[in-house]
Amino acid sequence: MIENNDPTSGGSSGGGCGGNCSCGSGGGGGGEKSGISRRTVLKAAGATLGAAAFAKALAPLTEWTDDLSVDEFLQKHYRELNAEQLATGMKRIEDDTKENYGADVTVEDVRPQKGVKFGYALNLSVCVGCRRCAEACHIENNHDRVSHNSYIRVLEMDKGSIDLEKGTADYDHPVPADDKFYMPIQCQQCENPPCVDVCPVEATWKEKDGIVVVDYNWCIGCRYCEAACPYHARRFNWEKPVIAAEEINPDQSYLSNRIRPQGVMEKCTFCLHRTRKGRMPACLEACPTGARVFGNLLDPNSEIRRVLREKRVFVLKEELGTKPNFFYFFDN
Amino acid sequence: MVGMRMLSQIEMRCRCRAVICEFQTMANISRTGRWVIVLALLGAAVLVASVVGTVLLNRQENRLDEYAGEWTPGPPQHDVVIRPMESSAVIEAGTVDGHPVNVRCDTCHAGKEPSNTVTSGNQLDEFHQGLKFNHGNGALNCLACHNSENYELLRKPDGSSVPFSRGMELCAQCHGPQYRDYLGGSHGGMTGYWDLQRGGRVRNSCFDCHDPHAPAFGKMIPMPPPKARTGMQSASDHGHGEADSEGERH
Amino acid sequence: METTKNIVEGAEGGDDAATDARVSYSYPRFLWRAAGLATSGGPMFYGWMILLTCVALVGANAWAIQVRDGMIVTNMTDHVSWGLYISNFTFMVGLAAGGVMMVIPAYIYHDRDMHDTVIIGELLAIASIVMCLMFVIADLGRPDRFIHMLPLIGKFNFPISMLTWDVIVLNGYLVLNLHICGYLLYKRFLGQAPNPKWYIPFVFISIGWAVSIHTVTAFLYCGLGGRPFWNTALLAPKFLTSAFVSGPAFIIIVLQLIRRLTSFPVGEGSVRILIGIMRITLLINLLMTVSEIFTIFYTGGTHAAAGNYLYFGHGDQNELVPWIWSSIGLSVIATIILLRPNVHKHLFWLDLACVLAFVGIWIEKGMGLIIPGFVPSTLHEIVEYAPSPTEWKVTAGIWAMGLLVYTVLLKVGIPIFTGEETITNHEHRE
Repeated sequence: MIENNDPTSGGSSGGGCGGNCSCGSGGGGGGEKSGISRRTVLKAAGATLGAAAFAKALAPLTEWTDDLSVDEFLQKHYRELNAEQLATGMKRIEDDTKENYGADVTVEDVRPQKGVKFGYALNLSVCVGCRRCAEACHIENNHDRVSHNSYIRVLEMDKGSIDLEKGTADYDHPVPADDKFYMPIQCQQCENPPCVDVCPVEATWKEKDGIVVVDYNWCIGCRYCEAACPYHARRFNWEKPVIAAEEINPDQSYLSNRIRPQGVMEKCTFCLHRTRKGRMPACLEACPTGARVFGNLLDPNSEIRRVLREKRVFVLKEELGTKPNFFYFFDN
Repeated sequence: MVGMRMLSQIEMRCRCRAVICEFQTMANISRTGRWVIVLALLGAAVLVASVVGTVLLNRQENRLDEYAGEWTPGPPQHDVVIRPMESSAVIEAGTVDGHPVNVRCDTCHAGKEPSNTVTSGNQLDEFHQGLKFNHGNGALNCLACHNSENYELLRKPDGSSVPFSRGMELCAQCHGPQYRDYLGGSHGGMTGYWDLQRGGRVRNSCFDCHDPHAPAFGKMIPMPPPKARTGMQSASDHGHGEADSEGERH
Repeated sequence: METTKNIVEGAEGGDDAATDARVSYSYPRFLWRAAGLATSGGPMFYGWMILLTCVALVGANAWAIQVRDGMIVTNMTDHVSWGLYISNFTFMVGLAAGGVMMVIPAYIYHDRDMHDTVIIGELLAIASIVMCLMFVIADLGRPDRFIHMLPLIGKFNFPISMLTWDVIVLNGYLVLNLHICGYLLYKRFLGQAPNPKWYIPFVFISIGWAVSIHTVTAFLYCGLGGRPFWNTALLAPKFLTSAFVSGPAFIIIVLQLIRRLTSFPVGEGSVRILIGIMRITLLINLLMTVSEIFTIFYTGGTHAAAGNYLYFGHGDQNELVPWIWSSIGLSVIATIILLRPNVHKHLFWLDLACVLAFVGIWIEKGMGLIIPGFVPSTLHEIVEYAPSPTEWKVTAGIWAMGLLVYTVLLKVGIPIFTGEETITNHEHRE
């Protein structure tokens, strides 16, 4: 093995080929002295070439940045925006929607009401598994049409056990099938949400009325929350959502159903743009059997409280200690 | 810092001779030393600033604490409306000029003798043919619910009469638990407001979902199943040219 | 070895004479000089660097497209939401932590051979951490928003989120190793004996820190109650043992290359100690695997779902089965080879064992750990995952970048350590 560069020769470049390359032949042995300037020039040329190559390789980034705005980049976390900044942000979203999707929409900021904490219950005895709720969610929340996304997954399960392992979500036959029951699963709005704990940038948090929300303008897209959620409640925007202008639901809110940007997380918000104004969530209105019960857990006379009082309810994966605000029950 | 000193002391003990030499030259901190000190101080400053900053920011009263208002329990300001049920008893009697013609029950039944044995439309000579009756597992006949003395009314099992528009009361006579759940809001579809202080609610009646003659909730074709992949790269939406057809999609 | 000793002693002897010149040679100037060193070499060196650059270019381009078009160009889904990137990230954290296995014998037990080669491990830690950070960036849906993590500008969910811990320990480890290596090389370059006060405390911190980086990375996963496959206390210890397999395995191969290609004094002792470490850690790692398999399958239930899928597949869906069995097979073969008493004399077998062990652990951390954590999903749906070409390209690019960084670091470090590059002969030339 020949040393690439003999240190005793006093060549301009000290050090041999020190990398884990396999130097078979001695290079740069002769002409060392005159090579100083030549080598420098070559290095500079190489560096320029390399930089140019990397610039070319990264060129797609410039097409991507066309979609981004400096204002959006500099916008603060939702919880730190003052009213004016938030208004500007919402106006920008409206303008972007007009520009990118060709739809006139209104983006609002709907805050929780004091004295309200949302709870949801689902009657497994009457759910027939028709997926009308998932479809309503898809439309209400301006989901990507291509993926047919929805925050609700309906599992078809064998009667006789509540073992998720025996469930299937992609059944496609008339329902309800014999000896099956159906269990729609969406965000459980946990009291102790693992997804909120794991977020490194506080882009997701639990609001005072129990809704776990995401600031789509703050999320960095690491998907740790998706790994942490035991209920498969979170979705990632793998690409820019595609939705026709005429299909866009124009009643939007900042923290819920506005069209999400590419590369961020999203999740069920119990349709807070509706429910915080006193209305029912879209999935409940779509349910043909009335399996869904929604209401204010802090109101002792509410339907949801009646269910908790009079039915034998259970929560999903109780052993994980997430304390869901979403309850399941059977008729007795 | 104490830990560091301890560690370096251990090191010193181990390498006594070397350390004595070190101490002799330690008087003048080397240039590198100064570099390290400056960098370490800078790093420490950034760390402290970030911790303090994070704590301060988290303490900062933010808009999260703002409520839109306060919800107070109170009497409902809006009504729960049950979708209207058929208010008059009629039957389709063919079409005239393409328009369906309904005939009131009284028209025929006023002069006919009621039969306690009829359990299907097909047993009759006229009208009601094809009426599917599948209610009560064969234990019921028409007159279990229809009032033989006045076909404009329904008949409850206790013998009292009830108009068609209040037909749910008749259902409730047998289906108590369902009616109880209905009243409690956990059976039967609805739209509108959960908060009756801010808006009303429209509820389905029994008959919106259950045919009284064959009340079993029928089978439905479900909406399409979810796709495993939330997002399918559609070529048309990416005009960038690179057809990154990336392997198999599930 | 003798040469090094002589040079150091010689330098100490001539301390007074050259003090002025040395003090005036500032650290930035040294770094500039290092940049010069790192970019000079023979055709093979340039060939190797150009090759790595080309691969890195492919990766950079693939990543840029991924950022532009969205993560849709990966094969990740909402079910398998982490894939090849996070797998490699996990593995690289292990490699970084494994590098420190040379530090312990060198500094705690004053192993002479190790003292000379320890820098190889420390430089490896730097390169690995750089790769870790690149893999994390590659996995972000919105890399432009990384500023949301920065103190004061962003919001840092510390101490609740384990990911913030990971950010801190990884960057801390990077800074620690940059300091230690930079300081030692600088002093060596100046021909002075390094002052223990300025590096020994940091070395000891880095030993603890190395354990912390892999422990915290394991906590990322094992703290998730919704993922039974990860939710085991064995995860952190297993991460560490496997790290202490992959780290030494890589270093043994690098040491052999260095021994052939440079005049760097690689003592026989270093390799023997590393082999000793691997013998133990490989066995412990296998023991832990067996223990895990037993717990999974003897208990059964929900915890067995992911294990069942991983080891035996689920009907037609058995994407991971070949991976995990090859991983186990490779580890077992490596163990058997390494258990030969005189394996250090049979370099072919030694190298083979190291490569097998390295690949085995790489599979184990990715296809054997990260992916099965997601299959079946939390709702027990089985959606399989195989990396897309984009993911492979980006991954290869990051590996190339990492090797490039490591090559550069060695290119600077080795001549300084062998005494081929010191201030004296540098200034003499000038």
